[in-house]
This record gives sequence, C-alpha cells and structure tokens, in this order.
Amino acid sequence: MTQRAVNSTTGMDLRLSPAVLRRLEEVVNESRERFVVDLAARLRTLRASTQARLNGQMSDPDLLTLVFEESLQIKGMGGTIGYQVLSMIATILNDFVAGRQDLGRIQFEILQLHIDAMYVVIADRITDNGGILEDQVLSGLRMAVRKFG
Amino acid sequence: MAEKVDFSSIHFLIVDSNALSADLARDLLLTMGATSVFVAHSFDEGLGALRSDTVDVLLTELHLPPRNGLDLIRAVRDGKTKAHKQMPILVMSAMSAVEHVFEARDAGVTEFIAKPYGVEGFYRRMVGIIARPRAFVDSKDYYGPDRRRRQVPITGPDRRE
Repeated sequence: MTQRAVNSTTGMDLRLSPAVLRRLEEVVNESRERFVVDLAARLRTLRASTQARLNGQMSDPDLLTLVFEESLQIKGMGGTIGYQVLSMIATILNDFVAGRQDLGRIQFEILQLHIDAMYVVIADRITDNGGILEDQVLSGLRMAVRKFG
Repeated sequence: MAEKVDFSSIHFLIVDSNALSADLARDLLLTMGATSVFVAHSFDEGLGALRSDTVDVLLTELHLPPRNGLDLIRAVRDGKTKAHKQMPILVMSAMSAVEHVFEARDAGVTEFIAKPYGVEGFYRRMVGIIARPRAFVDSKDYYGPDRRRRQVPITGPDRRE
C-alpha cells in the first residue's frame, strides 16, 4: 500500500501546509453547528434522566450507564469543534461515574452540577479553554469529585 | 523531490457508533484526497466490511457498545478478515486513559489519537501510518507493529543479543 500511495508527483505533502490546514479547518467549521445541536440534545437527555431519577422512574445503575455513555461522547465531540471546556467537564464527569454503582445525595448533586455547567458552556457558546471563571468552575468540579467521589 | 501521499489510491474504513464523529473523519479524509471511504456505525457492520470489502486502512473507535473496538483490531491481526493482517489501524477514541492506550497497543494498533483531536494531529497520523509503516513483530505473545518508540540503551543481562 505504501508503494502504491507514496510518490513524488500527486497527493498531499508529508508536512501539513498552511493551505491544507485551512481546508481541513473549514471542514471542521462546517460540522460545528450539527455538533452543537447534537451536544445540546445529549445534555437535554441527561437533564431529563436526572429528573427521572429524582421522580423514582430511573435507577442509579441505569442513570450511571447513560451518564457514562453520554459524557464519553460529549468529551470526544466538544473539543473537536473548539469547545475544549465542554470536553474537560465531560472528562471529569466520565471519570466520576466510571465504575460507580450507586449515587448518594452529594454524588447526585455533583453529577447535576457537571450537567448544569455543560449547559452553560453550550448556551453561552464558550469556546476554547474559556477564561478565569471557567478555570474556577473546573477547579471546583475537580475538588468536589476528589472530596466526594 | 519531496514525497507525497496519494490518498486516492487507498480504501479506508471508519468504524464509529457516533455518526457525527464518523462523518467528520470521512470528510477530513475526502478533503485530503481520499476517494474510497466506507463508514460503519457498529462493530458488526465494521467486521462485515472487513470480511467482504477491500480495506487498506482501518480507523476505529474503541467504544463500540455492546462490543469493543479491540476485538476488531484482534480480528484483523489474527487474520480473521479479508484485510491484510499488517494493515495500518488508527484508533480514534475518547477512551484515552493510559490503560486503554496500552490495551490498544497490545492488541496491535498502529497509532492512537485521543478524542477530541485536532486536524493537525489527524493529518500527521494519517500521513505517518501510510508513508512510514512500522516494522512488524510476529512472536508467540504478540503480532503487530513494533511497540518500541524510543531507543533506550539497555545494559546488563536483559539486553538482547
């Protein structure tokens, strides 16, 4: 395959040129809106599920399975389209629920805090690594997980 | 003259249950000049494509519930598909903790890119796995690309002759 693909006349340079980089970034930009719509839908699902758990309509294991799956997807998608803060919150949440079987009152509140924080990121379109406030939110979430996780 | 990689001569298979992520990887490959990119959204669909279609490069997610992308990698390396046993395999996964990276490495993956990824990292890895194939190791316990990335000087009794 290497012999078939590597040559000196046609194709892409081994080193990424600024022109190709721009074209690839355009591809990501074109996907951005679809990603944001999908991420918002996932967050709505998470919020509805926490409400269902509060109403006794969803068990802890079912909620944790769903949160693990959705937070993993959000982690993978957010930073790809420039929402690094979203990926960071999703990563903390994913680590928090991984392997967990049940939720006490405080753990459930921590889970809700992560979902609320991700909602704010999407609603306010906070891209890149955010600012001082986002740093503080991330520190707070990490501290809560460390203390009560 | 500088080397180039002609992506139009390569058949790609992307296996990712997240449709948007799979579409984005496909669109990036098409922008890089690829013309043959097949997308599968499940383990079974991916395995089916590997068993029936021509695939030169596999890009797969590890998280493919209810199955695991590692089994897809092992199927290729064990020769249980139509694909070449030494085909380049790129894992693109949000399951990027060290233990997952090591598991993928030991299953025989060629490269690992953690989600979320940037386009520069994606380009660099795609070019690398095609233009700079790594030597393969065929031993009792492992079949796959050489897992050593660094030259570490070893002295003493454990040094290979």
